[in-house]
Amino acid sequence: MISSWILIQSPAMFLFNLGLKPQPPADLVLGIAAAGGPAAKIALNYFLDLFSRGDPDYTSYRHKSISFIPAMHNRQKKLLKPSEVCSQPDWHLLGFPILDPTLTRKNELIIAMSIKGWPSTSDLLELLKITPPSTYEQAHEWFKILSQRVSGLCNGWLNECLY
Amino acid sequence: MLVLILLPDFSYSQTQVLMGMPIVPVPDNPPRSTTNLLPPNQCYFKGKASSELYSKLFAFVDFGYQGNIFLKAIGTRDEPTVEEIALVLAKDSEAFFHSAGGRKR
Repeated sequence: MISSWILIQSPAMFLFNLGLKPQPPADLVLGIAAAGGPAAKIALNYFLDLFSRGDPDYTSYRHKSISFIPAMHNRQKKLLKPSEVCSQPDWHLLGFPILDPTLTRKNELIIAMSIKGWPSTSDLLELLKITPPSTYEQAHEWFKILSQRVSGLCNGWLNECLY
Repeated sequence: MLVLILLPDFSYSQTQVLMGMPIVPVPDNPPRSTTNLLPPNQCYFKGKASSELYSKLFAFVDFGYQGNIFLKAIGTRDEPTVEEIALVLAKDSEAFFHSAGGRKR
């Protein structure tokens, strides 16, 4: 009798006890985001909403193996894994995939998926070894971007040393 | 002057590899509308040392302030050392002689 009374007072709890889930599992949502198409953006936004609330299923590390990150590579839009993308847009000039510039919740995604700002040093070495800059103009552009990886010394001192 | 400009993300061995990797495009000398690639540690920054004589014997480059920062960190220097000049002289003294303008100079 008590249990019947409780069920009447909490129809939602009753349904949850029958197996109704409060939200879809993160894997299902990310699967929709990774499939592309019109639903992908909605699924990504939904994922970020639940992630920001700290839902354990949505903050799991395993999601980093799914290719659901909207990216740009060689002027083509693609869906890649978080580890395959750079957040700093300049690196596209060296041929590395970057976050889709049209993404609206870029900062949230960077924080949620720990997306790195730039390629790894081993990736940079590999690039320079296989396809070094072939012209002065290209080298000028690349070396300027690569200078970001040099430690920060005061501009005045560097200027004095270089010139 | 030794300038301690570091590549904090690159390991020591990676930096050594970069120093000797042919990644710096330099024009042919004499110019043949082609471009060579030299390692950073075989290039020097355009400046006081890039005289007409030395520019025929060594590669002088300038990739702008920021680009030069990167090159300096991986071995490009302001000028060749006396030893390096001596090596070029010893390697091909005749070429050095002609580059210097012959007897008159």
